[in-house]
Amino acid sequence: MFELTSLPIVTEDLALRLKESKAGAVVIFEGWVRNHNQGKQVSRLEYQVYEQLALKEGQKILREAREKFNLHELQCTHRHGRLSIGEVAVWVGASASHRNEAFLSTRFVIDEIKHRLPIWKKEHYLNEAPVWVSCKDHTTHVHFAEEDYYQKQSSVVSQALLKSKKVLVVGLGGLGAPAATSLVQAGIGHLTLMDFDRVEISNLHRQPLYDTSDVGEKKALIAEKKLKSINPFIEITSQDLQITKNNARDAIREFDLVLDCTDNLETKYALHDACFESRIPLVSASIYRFEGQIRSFMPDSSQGCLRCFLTKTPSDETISNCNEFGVLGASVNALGSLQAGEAIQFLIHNKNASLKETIYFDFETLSLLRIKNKKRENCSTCDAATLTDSLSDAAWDIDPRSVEIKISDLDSNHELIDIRNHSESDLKHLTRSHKKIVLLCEHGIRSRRLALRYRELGLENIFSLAGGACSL
Amino acid sequence: MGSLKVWYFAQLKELSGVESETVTIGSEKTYADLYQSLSLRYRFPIPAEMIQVAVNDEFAGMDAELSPGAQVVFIPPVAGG
Repeated sequence: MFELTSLPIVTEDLALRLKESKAGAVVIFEGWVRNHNQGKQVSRLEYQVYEQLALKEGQKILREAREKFNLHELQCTHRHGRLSIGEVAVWVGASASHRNEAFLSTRFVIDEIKHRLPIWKKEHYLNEAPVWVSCKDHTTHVHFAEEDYYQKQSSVVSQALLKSKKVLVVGLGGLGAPAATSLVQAGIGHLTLMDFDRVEISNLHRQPLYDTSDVGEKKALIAEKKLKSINPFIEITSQDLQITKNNARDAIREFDLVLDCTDNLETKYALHDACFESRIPLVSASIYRFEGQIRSFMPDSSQGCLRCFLTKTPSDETISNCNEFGVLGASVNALGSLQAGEAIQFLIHNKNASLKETIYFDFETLSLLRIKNKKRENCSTCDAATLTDSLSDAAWDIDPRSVEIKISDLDSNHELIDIRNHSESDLKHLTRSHKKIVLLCEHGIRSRRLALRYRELGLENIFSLAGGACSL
Repeated sequence: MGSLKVWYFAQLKELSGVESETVTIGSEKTYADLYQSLSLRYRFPIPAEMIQVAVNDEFAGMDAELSPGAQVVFIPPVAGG
C-alpha cells in the first residue's frame, strides 16, 4: 500500500510487511536526505504535499507496478514536513518470487513517484537563503542550468528557434534511436516519439537506446524515459501507435516537421502522402545493407515527391527489411544521425541539402551519389500541396469533408469529371452545368481543394470524390 | 545505336553482380524497356513500375526516351531502418 506520513519512517516495521513465504527476493529502496546539492551545503529539507492527490496517485502507481510485475507484496511510504540530514524521505519495498521482478518494480515505483507525485521540496542551506527546488526531470534529479547544456552549440544554431519547434519521430529503431537522441540533445522544444513495437534482443546490435533489461518492453516508453534523462529542458512525449493510411493524417497534424525512420514501404508512403496532404516537411531515410539514402520533402516547394516518377506504389512483398537482409549498427546509426542533422538544418533555414538532391551513401566504400530531385508536371500528390492559394484545410470557412462524396452515393444526377488531365482554366464550364459535378483526381486531395475553392466562390453543386481514383 | 552506362543499386547490384556496366541499346526505346531487358538477363524480381531511374544525376520518368551516352542509375525501393 501507499502511505504519507509526517512522522519519521520506521523502516523495520515496513520491511515486515513484505514477508511472504512464496517470496524468494526482497528489494528495498530508501531515499535519504543528503547534506549537499549542486555544490551547496544542505542543512535540512522541507516537503510539502497535496495530500489527497498524492494518495490517489501513489495508489495508482502501486497498482500499475502490480500489473506490470509479478509481485507478492509492495509497499511505499513518503515522508513530508521537516526532515533532517540522514532521515528517510521515501521508502519503497517489493517482494517477489524472483529477484528481477523485485528489482524492476522497486525502480519503477521510485521513478514514477519522483515524476508524478505532487510533492514539493524546499532546501535549506548552511550559508544561503532556502529555495523551493523545482525539478523538471525527477528521474535524474539534477538541477542544471539550461544555458550550460547548450553552451557548446550555441554558436552554430539558434537555440530559441529549436525550442519553439514540434517534431515527430516515427519509428524508434536503427534510424529513429540515434535520430531522436540527436534531436533531444540539440534541444528541439517538443519531441514526440512514435513506435508500436516492443524491444527484441535482435534489435540491440543497432538500436543504441535500449539495453538487455528493456527486452519485451514498449520501445516508445523506454525511449521516452531514457531521452528525458538526456535532456531535462524539453518536452518529450511518446505514442504507442502504428501509422497506417487511415491514421497518418491525424497523427502528424500538429507538428512542424516529421522524421520517417520506419522500416517498411507501406508506412513510408502513408507518412509521405499525409505530409503532402497537410503540407508538413518530411525527412526520410532508408537503408539496404551498406547502402543508405536520405531525402527531405517540403510539400509546397517544387522539389517533387516519391510518387512523381512511379506509376505504382512499391510494395513490401517485393523488397526486404532490416530483419531479413542484415545491416550494421554503425551504418544505420550514421544515417539516423544525418537525418537529425537534416531536420535541424531545415527547422533553422527552411531548406537543407537533401531537399534538392536525394543522397545515396555507400557505407562500405564511403562513396556517395547525389541525384537531383525533380517534380513531374501534373503530379497529383505534389499539386495537391502546391495548388492555388497557400491555404491549408484549417483556413477554409467550410468543413473540407462536407464537399466529399462517397463512390457508393453516386447516381445519375452526378457528372464525374477527371481533373487530372485538365488545366484549371478548362474547368470554367463547370459553372454552367445543371448536374451535380463530382471532381475526381488520383487521391481525392487536389479535387477536394478545387471543390472547396468553387464553393467559396458560391457554387453549391460542386463535390469531390472521396479517396479519388484510388478508391475506384 | 549507341550505348549507356548503367549503375545498379541494392538488390539490383547483388543480382547483376556488377556495380556498373556499359549497355548497348538494342530495340529498347525507353528506360522501362531497358529495365525489362536487364530484368530478363539478371532475373530482377522488382517490376519496372516500382523502380526509380536517374539519368545524368537527375530523376527521370521510366517512360522517358533513352538518351545515348547517358549515365543511368536504376534504384529499387528501399525501406530498411
